Amino acid sequence: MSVEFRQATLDNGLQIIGEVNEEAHTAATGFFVRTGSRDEQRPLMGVSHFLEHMMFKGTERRSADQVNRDFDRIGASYNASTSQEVTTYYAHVLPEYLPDAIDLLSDILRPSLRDADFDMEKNVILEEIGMYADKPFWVVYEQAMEDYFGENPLGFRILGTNDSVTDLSREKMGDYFRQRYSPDNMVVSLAGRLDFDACVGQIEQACGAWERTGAERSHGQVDAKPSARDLDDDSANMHYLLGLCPGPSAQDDRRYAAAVLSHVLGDAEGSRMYWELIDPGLADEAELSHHGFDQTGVFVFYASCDPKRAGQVGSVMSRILDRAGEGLKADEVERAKRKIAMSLTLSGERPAGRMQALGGQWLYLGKHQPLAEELDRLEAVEVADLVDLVDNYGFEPRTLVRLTPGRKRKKG
Amino acid sequence: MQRIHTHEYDNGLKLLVEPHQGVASCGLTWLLPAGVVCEPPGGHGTCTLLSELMFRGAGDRDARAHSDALDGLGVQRSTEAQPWHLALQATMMGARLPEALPLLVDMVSSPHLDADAFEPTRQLALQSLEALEDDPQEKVIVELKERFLGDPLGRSVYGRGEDLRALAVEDVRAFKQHQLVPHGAILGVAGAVDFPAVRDLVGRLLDGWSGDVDLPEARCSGPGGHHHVPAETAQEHIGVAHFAPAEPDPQSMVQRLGIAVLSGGMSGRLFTEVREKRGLCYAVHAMYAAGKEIGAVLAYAGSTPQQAPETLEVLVEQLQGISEGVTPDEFQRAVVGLKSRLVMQGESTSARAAAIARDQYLLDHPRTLDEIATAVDAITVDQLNAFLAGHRPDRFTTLALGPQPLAAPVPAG
Repeated sequence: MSVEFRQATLDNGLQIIGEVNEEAHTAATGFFVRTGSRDEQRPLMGVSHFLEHMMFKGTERRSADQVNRDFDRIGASYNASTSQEVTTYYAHVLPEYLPDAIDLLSDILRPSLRDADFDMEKNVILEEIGMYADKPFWVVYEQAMEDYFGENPLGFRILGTNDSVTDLSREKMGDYFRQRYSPDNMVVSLAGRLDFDACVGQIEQACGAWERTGAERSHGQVDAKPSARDLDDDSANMHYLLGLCPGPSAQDDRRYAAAVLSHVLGDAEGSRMYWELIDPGLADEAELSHHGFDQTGVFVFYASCDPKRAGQVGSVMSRILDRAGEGLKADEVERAKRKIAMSLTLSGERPAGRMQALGGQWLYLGKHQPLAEELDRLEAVEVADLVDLVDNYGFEPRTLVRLTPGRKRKKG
Repeated sequence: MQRIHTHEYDNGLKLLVEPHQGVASCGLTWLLPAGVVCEPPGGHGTCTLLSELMFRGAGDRDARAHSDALDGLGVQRSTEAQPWHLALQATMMGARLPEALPLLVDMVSSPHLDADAFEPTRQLALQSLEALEDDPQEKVIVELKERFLGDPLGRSVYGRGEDLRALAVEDVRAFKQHQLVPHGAILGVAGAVDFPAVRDLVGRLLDGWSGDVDLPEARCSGPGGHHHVPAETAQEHIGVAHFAPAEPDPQSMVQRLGIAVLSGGMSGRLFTEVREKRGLCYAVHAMYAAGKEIGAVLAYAGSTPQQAPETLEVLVEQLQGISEGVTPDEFQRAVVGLKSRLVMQGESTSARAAAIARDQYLLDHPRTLDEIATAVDAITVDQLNAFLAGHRPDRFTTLALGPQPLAAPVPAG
C-alpha cells in the first residue's frame, strides 16, 4: 500500500494535510478546530459543544434542511464531535463525492447562527445533558475531571450544565465563534483516494478569505491534590469508581510507554486488573487508560461492581496502582504492544481512521507521523520505560469519585 | 472485485473466505448453533455463561496461558450471546491466523468449563444484569423485544436472574455438548488470507468434530401492546416495534430502503421531524432487524418527561406516515447512502467476515458487495412506494422506561 503525505498552508494560516492512497476505495476529510471546553469562560460553559450543533443549522447558501440533505445526497458518513480541546467536523465518502464533502464542510464552518435555530437547538442540548445524566460512567467521569482540574477549564463539562446552557445567549456564542474559528486555529485533514492539489485549490477558493484572529490557548496551571468524593444515587444499582492521576501529555514522547503501561495494568482483557478483578468475578468492569491533553495528561482508572464489594474492589485497584512498577516482565509488555499495534493497524486500514489520526497529530504535534513510524515507536518501548514512568508519576495524587446506590435500590 | 470461496466439510461446518487485497488484517466470525433460543426451560442465561466460560481455559492451556497466547499474537476476540447463535469473533494480522486458529478452535471444541471458573462467571453475569438496570437505553430495547417477540425469540441475551442463580456448571457442560456442534455452524473469514490454506487448516484442526442439533421453531408469542417500566431516570426512554419482512423475503431490500428514508442520515424523517423541527430529543433512530423467519422495525427515542408524550406521538406518526410514499429525492438519498455504506463495510475485514457469515445463515449463501449493490440498484421509487403503501404498520408494541407512564399511542386507522 503506497501512501504519499502532502501538506500546504494558505496565506491566512489554514493548514491542509493529506495522506494520498491510490488503492483506497473511499476518501475522508475533516476540519479540526483547536477549541473545546478548555477554551471557555465559566459562564459560557458548553458553548463549544452547542456551537458544534449550530454549525449544521445553515449558512448563507443553505438552510439546515439543505445541509442535512446535501450530506445525505452524497451518501456521506458524517458527524462532528467536541472534546475538551478539539472540535471536529468530518465526512467519509466515495472518492467521487469528496469535492462535495469539502464544499459542505467549508460552507458550514461559516454558519448563520440564526436566533430561531439557536432557541430550538437549546432544547436538543438540554435533552443530551439528560441522556448523559442517565449514564453513571459519565456522571463519575465529569465529577472527577471537575475535582481534579479545579479552576482550570479542562475540568469543565463539555456539554455545560442545564443552567449554563439555558443562560447562554446567541451573541456570546457569536463572539466565541469569531474568535476561535480562525483559519490559523484549524487544520483540514484528508486521507484516501484523492487529488491533493485539487483539494487545496478548492479549499483555498472556499476558505482563503477567512480572516485570522491569532486565536491562542491559555493552558493555565494544573494543581492536582488527592481527593475523594462520594455521590449517593438512589437510582443506581451498581457501585462505580473512577479516579484520575497525573500522566504524560499528548506531546510527551512517554505517551507510548503510558499506553503500554495502561494495557499491562488495565486493559479490558488479559491485564493485571482483569486477572485480579474481572476473572474472579469481583467487578464487571475494571480498566486503566491514558489520556494525553495539550501540555498535560492523566491516567483514568474505572471500575464498576456489586455495591457490597465496593471496598474490596477499591483496595485491589489501589494496590495494583501502588505496585505498578513491581515485577514488570518483558512478555507482558510485549503482549500489550501487540494489542496496541493491532488497533493502530486496523484503524490505519480505513481512510476515516487515518484522517482522524492525521488531524489529531497535526494539532497536537504539528507534524506528520506515518503509521509505520508510530508502530516503530511503539515497538521501541521496553520494561525500563515503564519503570521510569511509574517512578516519575507513581499514580499520585489520586482524585477519586465513587457513586453508590442510595437506600432505595432498583430503578427498573 | 471480491470473490467469496465456500467449502462445506463432511461434518456440516460451512466455511466462507473472502480474500482482500491491500490489507494486513483478517476478521473472523464463527456462528455456533447455541443462541439463547436454544436454552432449556429454566436455563435462561446458559448461553451467556458458556460464552464467558469459553475464555477460561481450553485445549491444553489454562485460562491465563490461553489468554496470554492470544494476546501474544495480537488477537482481538470476543464472544456474544445472540438469539440464534453463540458468536465467536476475532481480528488479527492475516499472517497470524495459522497460529491463532488452533487457539480459537480449542475454545469451541475443548473448553475446560471448570467448576472453579463457574462461580466467578455466574457473578459476572449477575452483575451484567444489575448493570443493565443502570443503562436505560439498552434496557428499553431488551424489555421491548421481550414483549414484542415473546419467548423464545425475544429472550434477553443477559439471561434471567433466577435461572442464573440456579444453574450449575453441569448445565453449561450439557448445553455445550448438545449445541456446540458443526452442523449448522458457519465460519466466515475475510482479509489477508489464502482460501486453500484456511480450508485445509480448519479441516485438520476440526477433524473428528461431529454432531447435529435441531433448532427450535421460530415462534412469535409476544403480547404486544403498550407498556411502562418505572425507572428513576432523567429521560423517558421510548421503544417502538412493528413487524417487517424477514431477510429471505424478496422485499427485504425494499424495506431497508424505506428505513433509510426514515432514519438513514440527518435528513431522515425521524431526525428532521422529532429532533430538528421540534427539539424533542437528542437521540432518535429506527433500525430494520431482519431475521430468517421474522423481521422487525425497532425505533428508539429518549426525551425528558415533559416532552415524552409528544415524542412518542410523533415517532408513531412518522413510522406510519411513510406508507403514504417517499419523494424521488428521498429515495435517491437512501440508495446512495446504502451503497456508500457497502463500500465502507468493504474496508473493514471484521465487518465483512460478520456479514458473509450472517448472509450464509439468513440466505444460505454469502453475497459479495457487488451483488448487494446490484440488488439495491434494481429497486425503483415506484416499487418502494407500492411496498410501503401495502405495508402500513397498524399494530405497534410500545414501551416507555422512565419516571412516568405515557398514554398509549393511537395509530391512525
